[in-house]
Amino acid sequence: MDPAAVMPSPTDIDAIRRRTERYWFEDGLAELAVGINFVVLALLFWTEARLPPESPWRGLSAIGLPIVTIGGYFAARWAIGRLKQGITYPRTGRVAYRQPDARHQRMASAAAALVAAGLAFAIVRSPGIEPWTPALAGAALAGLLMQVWLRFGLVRFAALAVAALVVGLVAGRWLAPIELAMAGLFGAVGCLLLGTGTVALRRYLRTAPTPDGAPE
Amino acid sequence: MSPSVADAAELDPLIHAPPRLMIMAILYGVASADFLYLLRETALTKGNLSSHLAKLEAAGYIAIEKSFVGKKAHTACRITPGGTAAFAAYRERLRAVADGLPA
Repeated sequence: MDPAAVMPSPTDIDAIRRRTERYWFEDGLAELAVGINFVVLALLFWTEARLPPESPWRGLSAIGLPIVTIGGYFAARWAIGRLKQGITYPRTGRVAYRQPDARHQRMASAAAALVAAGLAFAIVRSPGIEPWTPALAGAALAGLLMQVWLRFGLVRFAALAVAALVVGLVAGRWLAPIELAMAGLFGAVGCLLLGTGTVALRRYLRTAPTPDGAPE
Repeated sequence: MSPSVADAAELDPLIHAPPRLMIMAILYGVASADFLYLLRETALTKGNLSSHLAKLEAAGYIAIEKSFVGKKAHTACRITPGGTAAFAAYRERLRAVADGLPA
């Protein structure tokens, strides 16, 4: 008998592992949560863009950005957990993923803070860079989305990455002031994430039976 | 017997059975997975899956924790350090066997 016919290949094992990692994204809930966060960020930038120059609320995004980003991260984590508990786990089961160790997390946070501080410093030192901020932010978002595509093999994230890159360039070129361009970038990417998340959730609900086995 | 076939004979038989290989491959990369997830991924019957899990647990390759979520019983499985080492060794040997097979 041909040994290859009865032997699983290492590639099969990797495919099983990859599918298990991908399971987190199967229901689209993570995309929906991040999409909502991006739309909130867009509203923050849009509000600032609409304020008159003499308004004491100018600079709202400088204060609001870290609050919305950090608060949104924890709110999204909480909401995803609750929604998965109610929707996903009873239907298709629960997988708990290994958390990166504390050192890894500290290094990632430090790298993100360094990039943000470097960008802020560059804008302050050379105002000529400021119009490029939406394009740079779009490129950063594209990088993150591309990472999800490469790691989990989810093609829709490659499309989202290209969209983020293009929207960043277009918003930086055609929308002014910069707050409006940033609102355009986060609003468009947020809406795209809400769109792909909704499609993924609908497909998931259609294919996964309800807990009692009755069709949805 | 060629070296690769001889290597194949030394593959851990407890892991090599396809359903158990799937279970181990799933658990190897995550902190834990529950019974329902394993049932869906392996496409086994409940009884069959329970039997394979019991064999892996008896070998010390996985740990099974039973609890209640609300009023429903919940079974979570995770790979043990011994299971991780055994699976890593299995993969290593399997790769050697696969590399030695004719294309």
